[in-house]
Amino acid sequence: MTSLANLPVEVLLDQLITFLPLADLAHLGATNRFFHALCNDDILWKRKLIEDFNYSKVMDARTSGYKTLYKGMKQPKVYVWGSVDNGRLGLSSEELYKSVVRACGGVPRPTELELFARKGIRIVQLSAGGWSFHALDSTGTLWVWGQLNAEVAAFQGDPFSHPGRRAVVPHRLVFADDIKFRSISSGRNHASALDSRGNVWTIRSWGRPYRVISSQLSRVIQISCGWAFSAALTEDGEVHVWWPRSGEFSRIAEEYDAAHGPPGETASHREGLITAEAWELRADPLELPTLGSIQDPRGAAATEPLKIVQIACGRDFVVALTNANQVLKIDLGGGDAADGFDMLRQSFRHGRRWEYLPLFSEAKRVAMLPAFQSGAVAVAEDMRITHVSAQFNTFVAYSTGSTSIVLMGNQSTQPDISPTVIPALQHRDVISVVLGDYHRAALTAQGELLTWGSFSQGALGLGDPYTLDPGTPGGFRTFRDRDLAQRVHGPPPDVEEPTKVSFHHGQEDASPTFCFSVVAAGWHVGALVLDLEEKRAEPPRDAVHSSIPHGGEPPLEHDPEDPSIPGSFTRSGAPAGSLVRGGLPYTGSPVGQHTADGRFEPQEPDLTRAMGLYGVRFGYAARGMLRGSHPRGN
Amino acid sequence: MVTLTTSDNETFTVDKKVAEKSVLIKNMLEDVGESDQAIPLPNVTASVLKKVLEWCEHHKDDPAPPENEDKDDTRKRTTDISEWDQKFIAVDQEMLFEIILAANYLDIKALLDVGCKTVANMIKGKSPEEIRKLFNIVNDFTPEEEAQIKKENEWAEDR
Repeated sequence: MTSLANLPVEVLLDQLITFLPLADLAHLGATNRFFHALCNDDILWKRKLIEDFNYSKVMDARTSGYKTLYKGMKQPKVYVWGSVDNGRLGLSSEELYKSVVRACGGVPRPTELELFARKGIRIVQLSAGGWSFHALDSTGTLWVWGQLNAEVAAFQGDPFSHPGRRAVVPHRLVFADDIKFRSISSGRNHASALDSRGNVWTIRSWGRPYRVISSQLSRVIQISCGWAFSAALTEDGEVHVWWPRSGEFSRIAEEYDAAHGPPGETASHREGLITAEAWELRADPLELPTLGSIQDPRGAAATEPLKIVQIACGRDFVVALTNANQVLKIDLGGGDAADGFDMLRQSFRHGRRWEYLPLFSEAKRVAMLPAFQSGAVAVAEDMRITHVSAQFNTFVAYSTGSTSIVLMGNQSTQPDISPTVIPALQHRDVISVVLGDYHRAALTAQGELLTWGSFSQGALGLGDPYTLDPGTPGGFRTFRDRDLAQRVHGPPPDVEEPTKVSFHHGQEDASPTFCFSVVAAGWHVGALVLDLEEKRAEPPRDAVHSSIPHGGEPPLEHDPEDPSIPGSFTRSGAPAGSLVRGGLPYTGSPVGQHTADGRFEPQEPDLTRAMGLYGVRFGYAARGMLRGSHPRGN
Repeated sequence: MVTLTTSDNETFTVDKKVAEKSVLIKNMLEDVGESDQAIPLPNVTASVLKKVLEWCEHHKDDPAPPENEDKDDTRKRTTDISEWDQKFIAVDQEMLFEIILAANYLDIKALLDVGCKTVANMIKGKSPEEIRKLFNIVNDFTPEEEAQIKKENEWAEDR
C-alpha cells in the first residue's frame, strides 16, 4: 500500500511541502516523528527564507538553523558602527546623539538604524562599500546610505547621478519599473546586483544604475564585486567580469552621462528617496578561462561535470569553489587598465589561468598544516570546503559544522603556499569572516559576532574605550593608559583575540540576540540581528521618534502610508500570533544530516527504501549549497 | 509511435508527442534515436501508466513551461487545479500516490504538481489529528513531545 510516508523525500520536500501554508506545514510536522523531522529540514527553511523574505542564496557558510532564522525574520534589526565619515553609518542625528561619538571619531558600539524597524521594513541583505552601505529588504527594494564614491566631491545640492553625492540617512532607490533585487554586492566605489528576472545591474551612481545587456549574462546565479570590478557566475559555471570605472564599460557610461547631463530635480523629489534613472548598457564582459586541466577528484562518482558553483572577489583576483569542493584562484591584475580586456585575454592565452589550491581544499593536505598538527584542533577526515568569501587582499575558505575550519589566503597565494590559520576561529562554526582596512569580524552559526584588530574609530564595536574597564578587550590596559589617552584622544590598543560583540550595551534585561549577517569595509561594520525572545509589550516606536531630531539633518519624510513602498505596514499592525521565540527547535529524529559539502544524507531506513524504489534522480546530490542549480528551480 | 512496457509486462503504444510529455522518455528517445524497440518502464504498473497516459494525451498540446520565467512566479505558489485535472485526479489515495510516484519517475513536472497540489489541498486546514486519520499516520510521539511541539508551533498559526 503506497502511503504519504512512502513518497520519496525529495517529492515531499521539494514539491508537496512547497504548496503548504505555514500553519498546515506545522500541523503536518506535528503528526509523527518522521513528518516532524521532514518539516524541520534545513534546506526547506532556507528555501522558505529565500522565497518569503528575499534571503540571499549565497550568503555565508551556514548550513543549519534556518527555521530559527525564519521565525526571527519578523523584524530583523540593522546595526552599524565605526567611522561616521561620509555619512556612511546612515544614523540620524538623534541616533548619533544617543551613541558615543565624542573623541572616538565614530560610533564604538552597535547602534540600530531605527528607521527600518520603525517603518516595518525587513532588511535581509547588507553589503558594505568603501564609504557606503547597500541593503535589500524582503520585498527586493534597494536601500543605500553613505557615499558611493568619496574620491569625487559633490555638493549636497548635486543630484544622485553624481557618484559623490552623499545619502546621510538610508535612501530608497525608486525604479520606474517594478524591479525586485535578489542580491547585492559592493565594490569599493560601485555595486552590482541581480534582479528577480536574472538581470544584472551595475551602480556607478545611485541616480543612474544600468542594466548590463550581454548575451553572455544569461542564467546568472551569483554576482560578486571585487575592489573595482564585478563578476557574474552562470549556472554553467562560467565567470564573466567587468570594470565599471575603466575600459569600455566606463567609456559607455561616461558617454551616457555626458549625453544626458545632470537630471533636473523631479517634482516628486522627497527626502529619503532617490529616483533611479535606469538605463541599459550594451557591452560584453570578459569571460574568464575554463577550468582547463584541473582534475576532477570525484572520479566515476561524479553525476555532473566539474564546474564552478560559487565565486568571491578580492582586489585583483577571483576565488572560486567547484562542485568537487576545490578552491581555485585566478589573478586579474591589470584588468583595470584602459586596454585591460585585451591584456587579460592575451595573458589567458599565455598561461594565466585558474590555479587549484590543494592546501585550501584537500582534508589530508590541510591536516598537515603546522597549525593543525600542534594538537588543539584537528581536521576531520571528511572536511570539505563549502563556502568562499573575499575582500581586498584576503580570501577565506570555510568548512561547516562543529569541526569547521576557516582558512585564510591572500592576493599572492599560490598552490604551494600555506593558508593562514587563526586558532580562535577553528571548530567554532564560523560561517563568515569579513574585513575592513584594519578590523576583522567573524560570525558563528549560533549568532555570535566576534571582532578583532585595530580600534578604527570604533569599528570593533566593543564599546567606548574611555568608559570600558581597563583590561577588557577593546579598552585600555590600565587606568593610567586610559587617562593619558583620553587627554590626547588616543585610540586603545589593538584587540588580538576575537572578542564577542554585544548588541545590547548596558541593558541587563535585554533579550538575547542572534546576529545572522555581518559586513565590513573601510572603517565600518554593519550587522543584521534578531531578537530571540518573545517580544515584550513595548510602546510603539513612532511615539519615541515623533520629536524632531536635535539639529543637524532635517527629519526624514518617508511617508509611512506611501502605498508605493512595498511591504509597508505599521509595526503595531503586524499580524498577531507571530511571536518570536528563542531556542532551537526540537528536531526529533533526524531525517538525515548535511554532509560537509552541504549535501544532505538521509538516515531513516524508511526513507532510503522509499528513495531506492525510484532512485535519486535529483535532489540530494544537488541539495545544500548547490541549491541554486536545483533542476526544479527555486 | 512509441511502445512502452510496464512492470507487469503490458505494452502501450502511443503517439511520440504524448510519450514525450515525460522528460525521462523524451531523453531516452533522444539517446537511442529512432527505434522500434519497446521502452521498459520497470517502475510503473499498467493500471497507473494507463492513467498517466490519459493525462498526457489530454495535455499533449500544452505549451512547454517557459524556460526563463520571472522567478517571482514560483514564489506565489497557488494550489489551483484546472477542472479537467480535478476530475482526473479524483481517485483513491493509493492511486493518487502511485500517480505522484510515476510522475516523479517519468519526470512529468506538471502532473507531479497536480498530484502534490491535490495532497496539499487535502492537508490544508486540518488539525494534526485529522491529518493522521486521513493518511493513516501512526503517532509515535510521547505525550511530552507532543505538548512541546504544539507549543513550538504556535508561532506558525495565523501567519
